[in-house]
Amino acid sequence: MEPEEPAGTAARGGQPETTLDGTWERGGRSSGSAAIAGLLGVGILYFYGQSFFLSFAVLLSAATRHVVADSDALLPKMAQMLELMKYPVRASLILSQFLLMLLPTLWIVRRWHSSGVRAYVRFSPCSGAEIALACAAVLLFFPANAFLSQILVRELNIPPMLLKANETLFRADSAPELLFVIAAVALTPAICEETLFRGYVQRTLERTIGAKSVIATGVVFGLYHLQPLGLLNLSLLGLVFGYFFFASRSLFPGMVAHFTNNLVAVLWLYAEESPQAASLTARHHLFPALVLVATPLSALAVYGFAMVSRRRIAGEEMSRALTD
Amino acid sequence: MDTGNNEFVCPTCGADVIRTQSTCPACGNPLEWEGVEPAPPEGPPAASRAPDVRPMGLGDIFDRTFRMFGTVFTRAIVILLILFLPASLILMIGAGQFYGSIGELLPAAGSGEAPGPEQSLALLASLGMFGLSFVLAYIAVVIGEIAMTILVAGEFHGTRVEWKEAFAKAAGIRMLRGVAVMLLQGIVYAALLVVPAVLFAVAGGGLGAVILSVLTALVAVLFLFIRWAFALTAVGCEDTGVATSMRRSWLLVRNGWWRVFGILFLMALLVGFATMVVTTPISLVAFWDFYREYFKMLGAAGTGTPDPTMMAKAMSTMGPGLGLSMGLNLMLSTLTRPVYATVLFFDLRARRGEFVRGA
Repeated sequence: MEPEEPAGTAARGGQPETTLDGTWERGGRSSGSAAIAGLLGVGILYFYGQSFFLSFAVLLSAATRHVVADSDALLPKMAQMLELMKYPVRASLILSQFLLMLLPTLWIVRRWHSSGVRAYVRFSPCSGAEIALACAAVLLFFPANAFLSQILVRELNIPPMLLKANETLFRADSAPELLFVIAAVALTPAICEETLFRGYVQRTLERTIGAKSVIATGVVFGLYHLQPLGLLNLSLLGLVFGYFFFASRSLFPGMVAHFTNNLVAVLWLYAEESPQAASLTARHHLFPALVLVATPLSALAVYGFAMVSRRRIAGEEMSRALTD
Repeated sequence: MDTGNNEFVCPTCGADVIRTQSTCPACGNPLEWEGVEPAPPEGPPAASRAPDVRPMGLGDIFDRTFRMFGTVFTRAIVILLILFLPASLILMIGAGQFYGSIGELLPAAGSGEAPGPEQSLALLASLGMFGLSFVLAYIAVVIGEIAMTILVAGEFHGTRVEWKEAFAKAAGIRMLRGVAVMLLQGIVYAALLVVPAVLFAVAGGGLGAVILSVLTALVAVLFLFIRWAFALTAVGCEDTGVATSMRRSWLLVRNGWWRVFGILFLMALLVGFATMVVTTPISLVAFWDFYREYFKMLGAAGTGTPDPTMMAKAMSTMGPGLGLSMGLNLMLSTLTRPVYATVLFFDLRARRGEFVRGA
């Protein structure tokens, strides 16, 4: 285990020092304990608060819209209900992510750790090349991700109708709705989840366990979604986002990569509705070949990202040394 | 202000105080001890009596809990695996037989047929087996909690207790005391909830009176639950008898009921949430066969209603997963609860001035 940073200041790589003047730091408590307590505290607030927002939004929607069940069968009824609830669910997702995830995270950083919140969560710039490589890495990883999901769906005999119903929240039927879905499903999690998981949890764990924080936070990121079928995919994505944060000392590449991944999923579902794309997505047998080609290229993009980040940070360190 | 039995009360506020304290921990009133020499408080043997513990704030309790959890983790896992691997296996068998019996009954029940005597007997036997497996798992919980408490208390006293020693101590007379403490508390809670409700019902008090009596009893149960929250911890830490442990917990919580309630509630929320996060993917593996049958049933039903035979098959595959899931949840709860309970136990003792600062 690497030595823990003492209260006072914290600096790594080409970054300016972060003043550790929060109550947790002044009390001389462990940063690992802070990461776990913060993660669980925000988690409870978010999940139970989101349930409250969701119940409120659904009740409000049900009161203002006349709900008629066309069928007595379970799956069509479920699909119909999800269709009716999709707007309140998306709205409550945006609200709860910003109010119950992002704000408490920033409050915890300020209260427990540092008055320099932006510096602590590494809300710091990176190069365009890093952003481009992060996007390329997740785009090229997308086929492997989709392939893993397909295997689980096939092994569990999940009926297509149930899958279709489950996708309702992420599927848009028009261009304005597509923008709303992108805001709810891609933009909001990219900002809020990255600030919590990478900016706070990984950053705080990193002070105790160093690079192992990438693995720990990646797994926790997968677990936190409470989607057993998506655990492997989400954990792998969490590892990639975490590595971007660790290598670049910036929150932005992970945010952009997270946004790109979710955006592609939304656009994929949107495109499935059009006749031209339907023929493309029907060719699922192409997936294994695509996975074999795209996944190594994705790994190459991550490697390129690490090289570019290292060079940028070395340059920043050198210029700071010259200035000093 | 001597109440006998080496206990004193503050002349200003009536809070419990002991002879080593210069001020009352509850009201801050200076205490004078005329003709009374300071005497060491009750507790473990002198060799390991003086841990440097001071009253802790909420942040310190969290920090100490997480640190302590990391310190005892490996030893705790060994103890809990020894206890919960067989307990989970027995739960899987018990739940498997019970849900299997239900699965056999479902198709007949769906067609309106009454179950035969053999089927009813098999269902009762499997229910008994399931109940027995649950009792055994509960004994594993008591042993585990006491062993974990011994490990954590050892760390507070600056002594590393090995898992074998903690296990041996927990599985002896302390286990019997722990079971008795839990049984006694359970009987009191059940009596408080059931007896008044039954009396009101028999006296023809109506549904409203019964509901009111149950709600009032729930408040009383919650009050007692918090006052006795550290009885099992006292059994583990101090090897005290059943009545002494319950009295010890009662006195420790006396002047800080709301604080203890708040901290225990918060800890239970955090641990419950963490357990849910960790067990969700494990549940997928545990219920794999059930999910396969369930989704197959949904797929076959399509836009129609599910087939009762397929539903019965899905139900009969549910038992082992449920048993495994229960075993895992009990194990995770036993891994975490004693750690924060023991940290809070030492904090409450420090607040009573039981530890000499810097000793």
